[in-house]
Amino acid sequence: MNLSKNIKMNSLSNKKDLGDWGENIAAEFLKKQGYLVIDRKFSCPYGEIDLIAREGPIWCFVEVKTRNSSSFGYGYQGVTRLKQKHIIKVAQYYLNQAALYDAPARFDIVSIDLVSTADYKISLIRNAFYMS
Amino acid sequence: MAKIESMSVNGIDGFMVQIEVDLGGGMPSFDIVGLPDLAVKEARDRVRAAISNSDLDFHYHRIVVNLAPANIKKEGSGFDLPIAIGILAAKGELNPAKIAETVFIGELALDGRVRPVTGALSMAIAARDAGKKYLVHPVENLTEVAVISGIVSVPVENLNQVVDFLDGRWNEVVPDPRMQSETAATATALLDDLADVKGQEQAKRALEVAAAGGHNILMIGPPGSGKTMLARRLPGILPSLGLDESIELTKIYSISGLLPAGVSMIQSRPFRSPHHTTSPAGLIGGGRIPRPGEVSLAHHGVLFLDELPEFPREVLEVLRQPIEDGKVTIARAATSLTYPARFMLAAAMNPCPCGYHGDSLKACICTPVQIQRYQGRISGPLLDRFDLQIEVPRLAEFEFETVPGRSESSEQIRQRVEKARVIQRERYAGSATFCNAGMTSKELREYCQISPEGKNLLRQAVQRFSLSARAYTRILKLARTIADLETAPQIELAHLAEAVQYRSLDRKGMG
Repeated sequence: MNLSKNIKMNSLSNKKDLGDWGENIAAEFLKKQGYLVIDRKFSCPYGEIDLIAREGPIWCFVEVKTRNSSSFGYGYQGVTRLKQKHIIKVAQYYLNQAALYDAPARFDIVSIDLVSTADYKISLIRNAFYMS
Repeated sequence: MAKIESMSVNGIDGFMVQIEVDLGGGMPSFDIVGLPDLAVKEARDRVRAAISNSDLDFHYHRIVVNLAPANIKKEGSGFDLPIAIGILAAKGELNPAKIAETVFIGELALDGRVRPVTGALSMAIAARDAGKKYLVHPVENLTEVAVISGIVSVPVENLNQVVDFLDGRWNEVVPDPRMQSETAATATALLDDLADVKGQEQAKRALEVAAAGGHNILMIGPPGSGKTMLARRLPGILPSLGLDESIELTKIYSISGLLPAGVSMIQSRPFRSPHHTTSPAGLIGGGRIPRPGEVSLAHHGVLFLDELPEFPREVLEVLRQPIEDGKVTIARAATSLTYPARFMLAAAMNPCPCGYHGDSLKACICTPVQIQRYQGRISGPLLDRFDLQIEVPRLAEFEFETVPGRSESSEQIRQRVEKARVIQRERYAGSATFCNAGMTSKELREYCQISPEGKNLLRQAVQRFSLSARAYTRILKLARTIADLETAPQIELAHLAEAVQYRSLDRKGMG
């Protein structure tokens, strides 16, 4: 996988490739921030979570959103209320099957936005949303 | 787990609400239980934003807030501040000993500022009576709260100041002595003086009698004869407010959010004149979020209904309970509240739709049927509750220019009224009766004995005007008040004769 800043446009033209590339960038970024990445692309009947990590004792369920143009807004704006509900469902499923009933948990978003063909901006939002 | 104490209001009295905050593991969520209404539920978003914007750490864990007692509906936004403190305290970072002796009230703005609440006075009194040491409240409510001694007032502008207070970085504010002495001063400047009303000496005398005995008064007269002007001057001749009355009244205004800025106590008797389009709920109180109505805002003062026949019947009929009981009870499925409403009822009406029936200068253009229908809009039972029914004629042309100078001032009349009230207070000591208007039939027999000549006069009046038994007792009560004004121990013939005069509708066979 190409993790360099030299992004080859043709390799990212495909939506899935762009997402995979973004997830790798995000995982590296979180490691640098001191997160312990536990699982990637966890999927269950309810849906999928991009990254599951721990920051200290807190379980973090991370949604990675990558966008190659800002014409539809920034990446984190793409995590809609409906998407949040799906993620919450999956997170509950994950904690239950891992028997982590009372573990502290939270939801983060990593947003990766391509500024040009050779540069991108990465931002982490802790506590991006919550159950209500 | 943290426990914070806050206050809510039921009727006009504050009651303690315990706020329990539990931080648990699991998925981040924020729930409020314990019968919160919408404004309380919305506290979640205000609290979250206020804490983060105050540079304090908002815990993203499972937050459960419980408002106890859980069976009473919690209303309003005054729980924002205590919920925020509860979340911070549940982390164990605040001084629990200090929290235990403090009551918190206040709404939060998104930037962490504290906004004022309604009903702060009632809450402060209840907090003191519960034995709490400190009351943390919005700085805007300081003027109300400062008059209550026995609890230390901690006015705050924002959330960080509350944290500072709990950490001991706060200097006690010594209450401004001016604020407390303000309540002692009762004399208020009168804007409306009876001396400004030219002529109408009979009406003025009737007002004096009404004020002296707490009687309800109905004024009938053509447009422009000065009925409204006279009624407005009624509070000015009532005795001055006592401290307890003043506190009770201020509570009502504080709950309604009608306390003017910078005013700590209401010291003059209120004069409320609701328009005839007022709804029953507006008049006696109620609504989705219950609020005191006009009758409670007129507590210890005067409720004036101008153009009485224009009021819809159902609006007038709801007045009967407060007139009799001096309070209003609003029953709800879950609860019932009581607001005090001990007011003097004054009303004005025209004698007919065009207004000139019986006028000496202008002819009336109404048909007898129209007049009858107009006057029939007021039910007999309500009409009965006006002890005094007087006619207020128009002054003849230019009479108001020629009537000599100023007549008696309100202050002079008030002194006589006050004296009559003192006599009544002594008479009814130990009884639930306040003044002559509220005399029970037993008290009537005891205090309104009349001579054989007096009986004779009343018999003639009853026969001539075919007075009802109720009208008869009203005349006796009025005569008692007139006698009290002259500090006469017995009701004399002259007192009775004057009292009969004030039943003008009975004399005309109306009502």
